[in-house]
Amino acid sequence: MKKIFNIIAVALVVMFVAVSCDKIEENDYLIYSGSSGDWTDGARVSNTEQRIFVEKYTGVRCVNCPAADTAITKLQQQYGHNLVAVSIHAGTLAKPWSGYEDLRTEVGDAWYGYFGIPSNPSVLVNREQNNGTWNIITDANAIASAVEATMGAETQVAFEMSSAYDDASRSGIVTANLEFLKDVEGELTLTLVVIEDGLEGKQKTPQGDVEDYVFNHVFRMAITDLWGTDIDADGKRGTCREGKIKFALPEQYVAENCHIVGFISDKNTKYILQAAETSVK
Amino acid sequence: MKKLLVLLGVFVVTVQVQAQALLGGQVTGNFQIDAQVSKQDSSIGAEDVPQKLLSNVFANLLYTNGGFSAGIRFESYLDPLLGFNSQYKGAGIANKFMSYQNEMIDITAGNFYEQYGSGLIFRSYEDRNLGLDNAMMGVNVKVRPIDGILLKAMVGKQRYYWDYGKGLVRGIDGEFALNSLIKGFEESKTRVTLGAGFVSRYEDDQTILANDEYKLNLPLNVGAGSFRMDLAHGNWGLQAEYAMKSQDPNVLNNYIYKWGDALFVSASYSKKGLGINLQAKRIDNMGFKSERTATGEMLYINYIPAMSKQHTYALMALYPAITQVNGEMGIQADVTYTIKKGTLLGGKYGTTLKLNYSQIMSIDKQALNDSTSIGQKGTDGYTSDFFKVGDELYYQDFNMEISKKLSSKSKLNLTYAYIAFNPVMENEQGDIHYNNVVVADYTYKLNNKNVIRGELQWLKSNIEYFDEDKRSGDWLMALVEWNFTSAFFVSVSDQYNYNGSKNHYYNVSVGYTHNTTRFQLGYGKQRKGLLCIGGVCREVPASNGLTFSLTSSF
Repeated sequence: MKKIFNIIAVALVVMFVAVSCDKIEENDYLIYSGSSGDWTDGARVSNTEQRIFVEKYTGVRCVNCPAADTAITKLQQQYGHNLVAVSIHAGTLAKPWSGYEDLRTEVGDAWYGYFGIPSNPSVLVNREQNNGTWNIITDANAIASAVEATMGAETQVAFEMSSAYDDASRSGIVTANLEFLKDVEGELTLTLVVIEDGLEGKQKTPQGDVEDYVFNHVFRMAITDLWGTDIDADGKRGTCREGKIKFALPEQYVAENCHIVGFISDKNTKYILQAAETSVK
Repeated sequence: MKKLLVLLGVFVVTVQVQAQALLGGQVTGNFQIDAQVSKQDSSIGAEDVPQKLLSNVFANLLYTNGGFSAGIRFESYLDPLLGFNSQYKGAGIANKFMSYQNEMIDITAGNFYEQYGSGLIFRSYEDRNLGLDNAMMGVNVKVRPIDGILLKAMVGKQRYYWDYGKGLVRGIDGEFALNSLIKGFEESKTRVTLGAGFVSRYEDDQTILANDEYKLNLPLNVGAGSFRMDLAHGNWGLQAEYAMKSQDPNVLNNYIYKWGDALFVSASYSKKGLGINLQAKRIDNMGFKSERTATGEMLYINYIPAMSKQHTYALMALYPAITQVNGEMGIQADVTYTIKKGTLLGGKYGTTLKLNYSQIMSIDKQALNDSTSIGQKGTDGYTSDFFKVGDELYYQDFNMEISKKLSSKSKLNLTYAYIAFNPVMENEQGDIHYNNVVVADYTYKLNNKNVIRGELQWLKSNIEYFDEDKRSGDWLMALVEWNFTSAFFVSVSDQYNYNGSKNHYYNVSVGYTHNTTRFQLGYGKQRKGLLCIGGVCREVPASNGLTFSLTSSF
């Protein structure tokens, strides 16, 4: 009995020591984080609308995902630019079909893991939490009510963006203008991502596999770090800041179909306070 | 003021209760109230206190019944005393626990304090004077499976003012007394205890930029382990501990990936009338906190033992040694020798001599290559030859003390210290301060109930006064203290920066002790400076006003 106790004790100690420190290889100390931008005092923001950010986790092998696409498309028609949608292909149901483009991304996978997405489709609205857990909507029919409940909140930070893109170099600069309409506590970050419309591919649907399904607002890449770049501002009402953030578009993305989505979030809670979208060109 | 004193008097009376029996167990507790009133005084840099009255209050309540115990600690900082972090502001139950122990096991759930070895990898402790409390909130288990073995395991989060740090801290430790474990070794004059521990911190990933486009790939789990031994043979003793810490890029080390290590060795010899203690330590990148971005005194998982004398005389403590967790090498020698009474030097009552020397230097640091600066963020930082001493002197202290009982009624202590202090220890620039300090401390017993004590202190510095550092220049200090009826005392003192700001820092205080209750009221000026205990320091801002404190236990 005593021998067994000793063996168990030693095994537990060895296991604990072995798993309790991570080793990073020297070549991996730094990882690409995206642009952080240059921040200066900015002008007041004319458009003070409050927009909401809807991120949908989807997959080409997810039979119920087209229903979520339809629901979000309807909501976009209803709310126009006040609803900013991003479609993130991640999870096991996003595994690509043979001969079709892989729409998954490292950043998408990281968010999928971080938010503990249980299955596809899953939708987060403004990355809200409910009693400390992420408010994940898995029923396509429940998306509309969640959006409706969030829509109409008072604007804390007015936000607009514009993009200056150079075709020759396939690079550009996003100008982000923020105006604090209220005092905002906590550290804020700005995350910029590129989405692309009009991608065709194979999608599983309740009616069978569709070979030429059109994927819209597909998350392609993060321009900033996946958790955003720090917003260099004091958060006091009346503060106006302007950030200029560089980006470059990879060859495989069609610039005319690409948009830049930006969202302002609380660095700690990840809650999204405001979002905006602009065309790359 | 009168009303306040009456209220405090009522309080003193009400806490005069004895330990109470409750449900077959015992209830004990204690209270501490510290309060302060300070006014603006631009001559010493004391700022206005808009709240007028500041207070820190602590109340402990402990219930014990056999092997079971449970306790809570109420704390209030309304608002915190000057020099205490404003994040303490508030009141509530800051500490709560319950524990059970028997001969084999000791389990605590809730808040607990613990230490592995000398603390190089883990020490959870509270020091109220420093405003430091890194109590764990979690579970701590100690098991004694057989005589001579003590195993510990814990998991929890560290207190961060009124919240808890983001990092999850886990640890195990084992201590093995070989004399109990090895047959035939039980009665040996040589006593050997070996120990080993391992502590790990988990913290979620976060974005820390190395430059405009790259961020750090952070290790989420950081481990630190140590081996130690405690050897005793007759009058001789030897303690040693070596610790290592895995990659831990954090704000203290400017986010470098170098492994940290620490060595602490202490050897001692003692016999009647003679005590010798020699210590050495080497610290390299051992700042270990439960949040990688945390600065300040909170959230330290480990503790680096200080290696210099903890001076109690005010002017000797003016320039304290501050532990450099990023790298330091230090030695200390301490000798106490008592000259026998009846000899020429010992006189009628004997004479005690104390010699102490400590020196703390930087460690050797070499750049990794020509294109990487020492300590550059997102790199291995530097290389360091373990046995090579760095070029920079941080701290040096040579001090000697002669204690002599002159007669049945009088006693004299004479102390001299030569202290070199490099401002880089407190992240300041400037020349090294070389100070000579002399202290005479004389005590005279008028009768059984009346004792008068006087101190004269003089500090001579090579650094001329400059306003940013209110302590520079030369100082004189005098203190007279009168203890009467064994319960009251009155103390009057003045620190005078005679070659410098010309400021006087006078203080008058009176105190009263009755059983377990002590009350003290003071009025005077406090100079800006550092309060250090064991190498851990807190900034004390200048103040001018009243202080009062009350402690009581039951």
